Amino acid sequence: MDQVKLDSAISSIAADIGPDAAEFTPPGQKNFLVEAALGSMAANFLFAFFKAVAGKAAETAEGQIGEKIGNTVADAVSGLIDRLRHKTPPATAADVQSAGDAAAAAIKQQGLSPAELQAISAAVADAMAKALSVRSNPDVSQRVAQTVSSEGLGTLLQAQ
Amino acid sequence: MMSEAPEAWKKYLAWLRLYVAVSPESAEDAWKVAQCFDAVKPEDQIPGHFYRYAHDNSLIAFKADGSGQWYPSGQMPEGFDPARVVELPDFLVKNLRDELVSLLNAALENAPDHQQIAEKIEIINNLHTADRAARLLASLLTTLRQVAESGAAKVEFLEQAANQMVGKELLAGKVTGRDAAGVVFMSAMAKQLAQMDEKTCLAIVTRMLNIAAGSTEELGAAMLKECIRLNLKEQIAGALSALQSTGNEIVKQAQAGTYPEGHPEYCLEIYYGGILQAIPYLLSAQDNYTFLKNAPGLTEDEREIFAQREEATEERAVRLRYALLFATGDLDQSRLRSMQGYTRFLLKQDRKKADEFVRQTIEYQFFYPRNFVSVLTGESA
Repeated sequence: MDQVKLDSAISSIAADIGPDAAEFTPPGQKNFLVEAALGSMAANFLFAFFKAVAGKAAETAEGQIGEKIGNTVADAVSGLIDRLRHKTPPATAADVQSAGDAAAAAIKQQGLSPAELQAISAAVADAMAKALSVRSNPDVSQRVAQTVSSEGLGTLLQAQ
Repeated sequence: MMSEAPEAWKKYLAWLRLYVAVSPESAEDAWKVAQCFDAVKPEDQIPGHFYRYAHDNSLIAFKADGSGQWYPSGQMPEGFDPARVVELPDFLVKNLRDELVSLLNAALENAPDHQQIAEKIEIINNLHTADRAARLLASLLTTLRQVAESGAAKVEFLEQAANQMVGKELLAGKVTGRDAAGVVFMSAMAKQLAQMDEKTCLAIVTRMLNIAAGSTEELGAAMLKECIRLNLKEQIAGALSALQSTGNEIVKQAQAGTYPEGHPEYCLEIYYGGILQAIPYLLSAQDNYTFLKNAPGLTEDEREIFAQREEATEERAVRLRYALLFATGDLDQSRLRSMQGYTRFLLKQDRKKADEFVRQTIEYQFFYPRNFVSVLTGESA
């Protein structure tokens, strides 16, 4: 996966998180709008998106696609929440790259069409928004999840 | 008014927005600190310094990564170089209220609408007083009592009162952000209660009519307390979430940077007016989350969620207020020109850094609306 495109996706997500960064960080922590900190937070979101898409693509092959969100998506989203709450280490640039590559490979392997990929991305965005809105403002959660999905989908489509 | 001196009028409006955004007291503090900081040498205004306030000896760190930390005790953290401490001058700054009144007095000399300006002076001189806040509350309650005895009617009136207060009176400098915050909370809370059960809504609003409070803000706090006592956590959370969303939506609309056709000169006035109108919603959400997170009977997780939301709303409210303070120092657009120069310098050196700088200025610090990206970069949108 092209690093420049990944950086650009991370940067767009970071810009969208922007002044709402405190929505996603544990209380008591100072939230400063430093590009690097927002970039790191955005990388966690994109990493979770790629993990969820890869998992969902595999489930699709196993015939589990449908209304119900799969365990792998739930795991990826719960991993995101843990990272945002600093319970697990943040995703590094290498982690994001490798998760992006894995998602792109899974899509190729399953022969998913762009429409199917779009449907998966929308389902992941929905699951992400729902999980985030337990702790954060629902409108902000939805907006950020949609940006993550749109940026992540863009990089995956370009990688095909 | 002030039609012969549009610059003075612009200055008056920018200062007034800052003065009323939260409360006159907090505006005076911000005004004083900003004036003191402006007096510091430019080479000492960059990250990597500590600043000591002369009036209370406290320290504030402006770290190399752009973050900040306040040390109220004035004790420097270990490992820092004392040579990096800059003493903030404690010179006498004319307070903002006096500055506003001076501007109005100057306008008074030649104004045909003498009475109108005299009224504005009186309002500004009284805005910080407890009597004025109490009168505002009494007037609200008098009308609320006259509204038909139904939950829906009370909700409708409170919504109208909130819109009137934020959309007209706050902009005109007749009320403060704190006054409006109390009313927007009551409106949002009543709406949530009515959605649950109109009778409960009416009962709680009616109880509010007989509570001894000194301001709309205090009455809002009493309403929250009552809802906590009745264990209406879900409705409270719904109201606060709605307030936050409304504040964010107002900011988003302001960021579009609209202006009447053919009059781009109104763009910034309209933008900062939008920023001002978002503040009561965020302030109200922040204050009530602060109260809510300390309420009895919450689980640790609930407490943490409310604390997180309190910080998120505070973060935005602080930035919006700082944007209004920034605007008071940019009336001649000297700051805009300096940022344009810096952006164009960065564009020649490093596109990524230029983009980051523009994002910081517009998206994170709210200094200008989004259509100012092209103003900063000189590139067509």
